[in-house]
Amino acid sequence: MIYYFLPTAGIAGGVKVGFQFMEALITLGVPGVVAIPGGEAPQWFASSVPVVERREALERITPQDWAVINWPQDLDDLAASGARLICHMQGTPTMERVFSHPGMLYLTCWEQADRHLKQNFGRDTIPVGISVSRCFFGPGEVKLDNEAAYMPRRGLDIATKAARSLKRLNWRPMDGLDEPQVCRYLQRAGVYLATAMGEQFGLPSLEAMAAGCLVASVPVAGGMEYLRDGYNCLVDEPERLIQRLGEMMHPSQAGRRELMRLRARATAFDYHPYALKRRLAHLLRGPLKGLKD
Amino acid sequence: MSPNQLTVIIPSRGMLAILEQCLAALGRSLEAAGLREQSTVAVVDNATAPPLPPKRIAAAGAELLRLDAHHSFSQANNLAARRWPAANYLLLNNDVLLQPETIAEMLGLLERIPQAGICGARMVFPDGTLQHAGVVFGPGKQGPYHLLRAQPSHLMPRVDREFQAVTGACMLIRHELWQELGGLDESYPFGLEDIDFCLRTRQIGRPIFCCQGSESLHFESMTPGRVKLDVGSRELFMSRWQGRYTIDG
Repeated sequence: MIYYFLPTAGIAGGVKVGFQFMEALITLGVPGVVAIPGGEAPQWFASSVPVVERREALERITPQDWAVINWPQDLDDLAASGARLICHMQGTPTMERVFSHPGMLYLTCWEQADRHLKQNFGRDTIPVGISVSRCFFGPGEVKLDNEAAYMPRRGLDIATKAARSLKRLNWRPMDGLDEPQVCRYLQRAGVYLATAMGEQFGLPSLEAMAAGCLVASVPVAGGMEYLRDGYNCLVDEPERLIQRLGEMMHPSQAGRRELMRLRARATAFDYHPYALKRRLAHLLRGPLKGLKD
Repeated sequence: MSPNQLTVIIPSRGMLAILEQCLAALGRSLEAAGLREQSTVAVVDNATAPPLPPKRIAAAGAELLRLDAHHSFSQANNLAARRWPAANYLLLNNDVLLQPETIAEMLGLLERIPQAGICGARMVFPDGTLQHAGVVFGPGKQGPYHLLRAQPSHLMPRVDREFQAVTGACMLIRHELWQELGGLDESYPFGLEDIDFCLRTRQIGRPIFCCQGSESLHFESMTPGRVKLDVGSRELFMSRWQGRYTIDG
């Protein structure tokens, strides 16, 4: 049985990635639960993964079980549990102690996480990837070409500059929303501006691509593998990004915008939950065979 | 204990006429599964006044457990499971008329998927709309509900599917799971103890499926006083579980 330990059920990309990973494994017949303090289950996105109280999980876990760690503070408790340890590596935060721990199985979500572990710590890794919730792929409402969504939590100054420069666009902040609400915003928006410089979990941009938005992103750490500048999105330093987005929003560029949105959707389909499930099914017949024990 | 041994538990508070129809349909389903001889059908008379007539229950091929004082749905099922232990338990409501192939399908699923702990069954109302094809969970106070309830049956694909919960109106449970969880939680007055059991089942890593191959008939909530008791059960369920299950509906 797999116990995936998370510090919170609150709104954070890492929480959703963890649940989506477990959802795929459970549907493939791997028994598992997510362990969270207080047994609190996230209510802000769709999932059917069972949740247990963290303390209860630590009492129940045996050396035959697997414990998934993605929060460095959990290392001591999980190592003491005697369970087999997995690091589900979503970004490249400061997890040196975890990376130095012997006998850990490393599963990576992004290429940059994979590179980081291999190059800096000499670790063998298994890239498992991530997925985007099914709802973002839906047909949604009519898309408004001049509606631009952004998340003000990080990089608000960039969004503010963009809003001042590009007055033709209607700017819609998305903050503290649950997944169905974010989904509705993105399906309606023609543009998504990603403003979190060096973002570790590049999930929102990928969700926006699945929803058919033209994504304009500052350079990020997690997710550069799907952000292909000039092909399916725009990626640039803030000043230049705003300028390029302005050019792209010119009425004469309608065809290019549409093409970029279609390419973005096509790219996102590689991250559909079925794609993650297929990849994991393959890995469960090979290097992850032990997870079914 | 033979792996195919089955105890079917049917609590009943009165409702003799529908109970006899339920037993007749159950008999056909057990026969079709080739389990007539290996099964015990236990009717729990939950303080019916006057008591259910033992001869008519015996004539239908069932054992009778008479309870003189009213017990909760959980207690009634737990008592019968203790009295007639078996490799699998089928909890069945007295207003469910099984299709002949239903039990074979449910047992087949448990055999095919060894880690599965519970299997439910697709059921329709008399008008042919869906009564149950799996239980999903909504946000806030919505809580658990039947997916596509009262919707045309063709909207739900005929593919066996995993759920967070299935209804206890027709629920097949492995003995070792029943033992591990200590049966149904007896603090529920009437209702949602089945969902509580399902959530606890998944917390120990056992998946739950709903068979979609056949459509049995479920009249639903025929027991007198059921709706009133349901209110207390819902309050208890939500106080225990709200915020502790994921939202999939």
